[in-house]
Amino acid sequence: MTSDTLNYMIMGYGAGFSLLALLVGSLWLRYRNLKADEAALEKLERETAETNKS
Amino acid sequence: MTYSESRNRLLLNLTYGSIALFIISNVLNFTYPGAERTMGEVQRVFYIHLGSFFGAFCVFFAAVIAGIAYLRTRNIKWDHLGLASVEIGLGLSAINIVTGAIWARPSWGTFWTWDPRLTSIAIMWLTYAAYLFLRSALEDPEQRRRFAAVYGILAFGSVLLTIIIIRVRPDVIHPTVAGPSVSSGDVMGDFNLTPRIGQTVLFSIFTYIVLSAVLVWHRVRLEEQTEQIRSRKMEALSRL
Repeated sequence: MTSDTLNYMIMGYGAGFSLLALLVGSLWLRYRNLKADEAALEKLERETAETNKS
Repeated sequence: MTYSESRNRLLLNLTYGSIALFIISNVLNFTYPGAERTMGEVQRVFYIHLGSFFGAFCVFFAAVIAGIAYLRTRNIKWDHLGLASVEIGLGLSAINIVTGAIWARPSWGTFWTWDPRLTSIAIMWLTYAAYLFLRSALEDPEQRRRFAAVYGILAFGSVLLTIIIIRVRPDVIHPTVAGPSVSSGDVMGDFNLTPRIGQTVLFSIFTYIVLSAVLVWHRVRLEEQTEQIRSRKMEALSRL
């Protein structure tokens, strides 16, 4: 006889997808922070170049 | 390392490809094989449970290759691959453990039991989690990379233990899906692998292997860009 295990299936897929989303999300978040760092660095490099010129 | 236009395009195409595979695989999981006769719908968790394990296995093996290559060449790109592989492998094995625990509840009556297989996979996960902690504790970059390379190679022993243990210990309750086993035959949650279930499992394993490779590549690229920004920061600070 087939057991009624639908709730566990939903829980399993929910947990699996959430963990995968967390993994992808952490990569995306770190990539976004890196882009912000890069932009700040470029600004600093521009300002330093301008200061050196003047 | 700056990414060329062609490499970026290849990574983007692979990313789209893996997303498409992931969607198809999950549609198949719910439509191609019917509900398993004794376990019912929860058996469909098997497809992500096994797929994520194979994905983790492949990237942990990549960490071994990266470790050997780093020790031979001292090229930093292999260290990036090692780190990326361990991180993605940890995520995938976490999916494997959590989905396994949820599947275990209706099959074994408990989310967790200290069965040899479950114990070995917990050891495996903790071994790789320790890799990240220990790696970040070392300040000297060269020492850190050398340590990580050796650790990445040795840690693979815990993956092999996880695979072998259900085949050599007679007291396991975790079913052996493929290959020989010496278990007494009273495994709980065992089921028949019908052709449709088998084909869906194979497709899911293929999907997770592609997905893990794409995630590792993204993580490697992130590490390379982080390294690049770090050295630019040092340069900028030295000019101030």
